[in-house]
Amino acid sequence: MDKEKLDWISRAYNFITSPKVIRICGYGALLLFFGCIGTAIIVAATLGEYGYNIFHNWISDLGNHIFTPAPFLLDTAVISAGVLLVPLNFYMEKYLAPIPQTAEELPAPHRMVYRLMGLSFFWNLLGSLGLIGVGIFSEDRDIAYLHFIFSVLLFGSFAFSAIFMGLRITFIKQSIIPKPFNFITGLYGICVPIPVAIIAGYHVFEETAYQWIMEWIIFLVLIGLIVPVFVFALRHAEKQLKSEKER
Amino acid sequence: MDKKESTESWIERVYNKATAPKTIIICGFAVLILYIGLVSIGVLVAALTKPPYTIWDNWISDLGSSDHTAVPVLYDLACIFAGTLTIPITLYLEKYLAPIPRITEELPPPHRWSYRLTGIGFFFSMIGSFFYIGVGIWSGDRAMLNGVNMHEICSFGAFGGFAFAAIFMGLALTISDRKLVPSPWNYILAAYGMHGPILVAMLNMTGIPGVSGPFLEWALLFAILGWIVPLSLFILRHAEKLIHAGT
Repeated sequence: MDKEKLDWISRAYNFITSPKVIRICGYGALLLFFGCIGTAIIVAATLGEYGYNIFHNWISDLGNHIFTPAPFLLDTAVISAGVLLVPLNFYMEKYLAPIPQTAEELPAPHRMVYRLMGLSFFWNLLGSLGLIGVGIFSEDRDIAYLHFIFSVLLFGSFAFSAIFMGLRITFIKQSIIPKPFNFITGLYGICVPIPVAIIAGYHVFEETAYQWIMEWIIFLVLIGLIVPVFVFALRHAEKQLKSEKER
Repeated sequence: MDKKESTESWIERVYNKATAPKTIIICGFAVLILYIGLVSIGVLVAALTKPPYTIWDNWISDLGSSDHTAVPVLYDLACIFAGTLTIPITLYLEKYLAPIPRITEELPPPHRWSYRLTGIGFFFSMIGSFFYIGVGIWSGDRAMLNGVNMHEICSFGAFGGFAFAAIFMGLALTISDRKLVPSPWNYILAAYGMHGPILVAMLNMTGIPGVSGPFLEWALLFAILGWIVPLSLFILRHAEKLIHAGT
């Protein structure tokens, strides 16, 4: 398509879904998120006044100056992950629900593909918003329960997104996640996050002794889906770059 | 045509049958007449047989309770008919708001946002329709199932589903092809759909001093009807046109 004829929104879309940008965002998100969270736990556990412990502390306590001398680490981790996941979300949607623009790109996928990816895109976008909100309104800057609201939005949205993404990659042919990994990650996405989120929600709202560890468990369950899916997306972007170079 | 039909799966045949203009005409007129007719007769019967039933002091669900009306089946049937008959209409709306190109002549496709918004709108509409059938099945007289208040769950699902669907379908109306809802009606209807039902739904949660809860519930029903009825009329007009064009 002629570049000059595209409006600025289309140009911005093409830019943020280009393999180069996806590679930067993907590696950037992985390094920043895990690097900052890992460092935040070590700093809080060793230098924190009360000794941080995942069995007795919320994840959000990593962003509270009472428990850690470096609360900005968690804020940086979640805000950067929230921002950098947005282009990856666009990329996944672009390649898992391609829209034919020319005769060569026909036939179009089944309508169910657009429905599932539309929903997955929507919930992922809300999840990213939740991540950014949790970072901005951290425990140190919690106004009008916004930290709690964004936390629920974050966990709930990614858990819902997992169902629709899971259905898409398990049951309908696609090019990003190869067999048999599509079945493993897909079925995991459909069956695991929502039941675990319900159990975690029960413990958190009933304030049981397991409330803190359950928050960590739902966090790890979501990471267990998001990371492999986005690693496959990175692999796909790398392949695209390689084929571009060969051309 | 026969060859094409033989290559279609049974799901595609059912989908094509459900979204055929003739089916839409039948469903559209039937839902308007049956739902509005049965609810109106239900209110009249309730007011006359077991007075005083008023929309100020009685919940909509009281129409399905033998404590408040002599003929609770009227409202149950209205809900079941409305829930069932809105399914083909939603499928039709999605099909024509975000058409998927299958042949070269159908290119170029609509913008990706059309697919996203109608996909999400479709999901919430389906939730609304299925839960509305549930409202009829677990009516005021049969509200509980194994200690679970199914009537309340279904009511929340139905009203919430339709209110959220109105937001996304409304947004889709503003950017999609103008054949279904012509300009400027698409903007008027969309602006109402995006704001009206959800605003009244929020007022139901917060309450208004001096206004009864039952009346607010009725207001929500009217707000949703204020979106669905004009939209259904435009859909019927579109289906009529297709029949006259011989499609």
